[in-house]
Amino acid sequence: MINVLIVEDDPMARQLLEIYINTSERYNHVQSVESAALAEFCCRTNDVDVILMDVCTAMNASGLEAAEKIKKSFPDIRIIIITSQPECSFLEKAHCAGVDSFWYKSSKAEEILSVMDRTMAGESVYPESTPSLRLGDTFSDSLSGRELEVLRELVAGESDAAIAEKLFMSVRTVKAHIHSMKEKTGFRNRTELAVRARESGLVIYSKK
Amino acid sequence: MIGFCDLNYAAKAVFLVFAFMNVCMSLCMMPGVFRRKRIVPDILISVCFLLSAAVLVLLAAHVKSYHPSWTSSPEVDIAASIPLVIPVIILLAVTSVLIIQAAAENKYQRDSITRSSVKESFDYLNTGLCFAYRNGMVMLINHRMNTLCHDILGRDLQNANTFWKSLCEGKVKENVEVISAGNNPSFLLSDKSVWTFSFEDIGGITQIAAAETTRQYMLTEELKEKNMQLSVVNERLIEYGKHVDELIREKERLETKVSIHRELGQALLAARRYLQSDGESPDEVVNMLKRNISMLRFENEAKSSDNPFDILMKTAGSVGIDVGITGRLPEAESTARLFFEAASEALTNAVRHAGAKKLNADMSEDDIAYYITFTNDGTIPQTEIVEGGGLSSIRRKCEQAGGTLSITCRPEFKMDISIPKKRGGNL
Repeated sequence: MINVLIVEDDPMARQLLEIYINTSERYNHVQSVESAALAEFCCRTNDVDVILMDVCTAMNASGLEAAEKIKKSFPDIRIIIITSQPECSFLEKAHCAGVDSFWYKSSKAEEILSVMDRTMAGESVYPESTPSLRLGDTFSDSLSGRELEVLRELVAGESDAAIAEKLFMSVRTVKAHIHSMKEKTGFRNRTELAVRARESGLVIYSKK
Repeated sequence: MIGFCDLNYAAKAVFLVFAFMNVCMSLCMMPGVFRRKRIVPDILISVCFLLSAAVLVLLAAHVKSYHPSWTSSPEVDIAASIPLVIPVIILLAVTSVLIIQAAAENKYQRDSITRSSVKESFDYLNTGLCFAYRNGMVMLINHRMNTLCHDILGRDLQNANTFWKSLCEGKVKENVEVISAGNNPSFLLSDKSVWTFSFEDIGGITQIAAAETTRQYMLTEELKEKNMQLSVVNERLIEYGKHVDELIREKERLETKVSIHRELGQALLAARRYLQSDGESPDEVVNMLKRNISMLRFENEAKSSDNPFDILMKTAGSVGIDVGITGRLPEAESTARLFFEAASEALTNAVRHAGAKKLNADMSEDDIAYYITFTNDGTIPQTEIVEGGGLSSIRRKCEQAGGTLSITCRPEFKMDISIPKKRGGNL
């Protein structure tokens, strides 16, 4: 039996995953925890073979940061990141953290069990790209990488000057990126742009 | 032919006055013409002066010779007896030359840059300027600066140093608003114009300049207003960000519920098919029903705790580790998150390095900061603690928040964290 640790703060999603695992004959549910900050502790106190971990967990603990830490101490534990938020930087960060597989949440049990099977067989299962989201009049893949970086800071409520300082660009460039995004999406102002982007899950500001 | 001597007394007087005016005119024009150092006008003005002076002297001497105490000379008599037309022509010619020369001089003054035009343009500048010696004695000042001094201080500019001191100290009239004092003082005058002053020492000469910055001031005020509005919007955006996660989760839960509902329908259909067909394996139908019932039951039972430390205690308790917590979690969200992360790290390290069975977290706060202290009942470290990735990360976050993290090993292992309450503060 393969021991599974679930790191998920949403009770319903957690319960659903537990049910899928318990109904499977190949996997054994070891423990569930709400925050990624406690994932390493669970690995030390339990015999864990694979972790199903959400990106945004309780107390704002990042599943990606926890994955990187666990991979250093327990390189043999397989980690599958599961998320429902199509934040475009998650895939790249997951690769950098050494995450084995990445799965966008869906309600089909077979899908996650299949991803777990393939991961345990040594395969690295990643989606080809971030799902393309509709944002106003356009789709998320029409926004450039730099525009997305500006948008990520914008949703955090940062001023143009603060964004410019953080991203090492001029205030004029920040304004130009915001203007370009407004043109593409057809949103009337920066607030609407930020609110819609945040709601779509395209960019998620992680407080550091 | 009629000579001067033949005229009556009144005509002689008019003639003499006319000659005298020519002499005066040529005398007045001489300095201006000579200053330009041009040969023809110099000669013309000199000849005009000499001719008109000669006519005036000779004819005046003739008139005077009627007096008993005077004796007439032959030259005077000759001059008085020559036909009147000659002195008249001479005087008219002199007058014409003088008028033409005066017009030329006027045109020159108007079209050329002269000393006076420099002063004139200096006065017409919209910038206030004042040059003074080091002791403050004014060397040159324009109208604008004089007017500004009156408008701001209510007196004449007598001493540049005193004037500048008053500006810097903001000692101004009641109806003048000081926008900024110091090295570049700015004032809002009663006519709503804004003036900014600057002081410069140029090789021993003091220069005080005043520039009108009304437009700049208005734009700055407008920008301030806009920035204020923007910061209000940003605050609302941050507030919105705090709730949006919950909204998104709610949306996901709804989707899950829809999915469960759909699956329940499928399970019922499968059960009906099984009952009708008789002979198929019931396992799949049972599994589907079990899944649905578990979810439906969970939905009724699920209760989430408000205290994040409950998660920590529950997780630790599941493997027999006791977590004792005193005090309450900080109200500041970022500090609460940091304390939770530190507690998770302390729990992991207590199990990993000390083999502890109990972790204590004592939280407290005062006016300045929030504090948390971790201790455990495990073995005391025998060697100096080398901070790994987890502890270094916590230390970095503490320092970024202006706080401190300290670890002591004797008499027992203790980790203390302090985070200032004031944003941007340092301990």
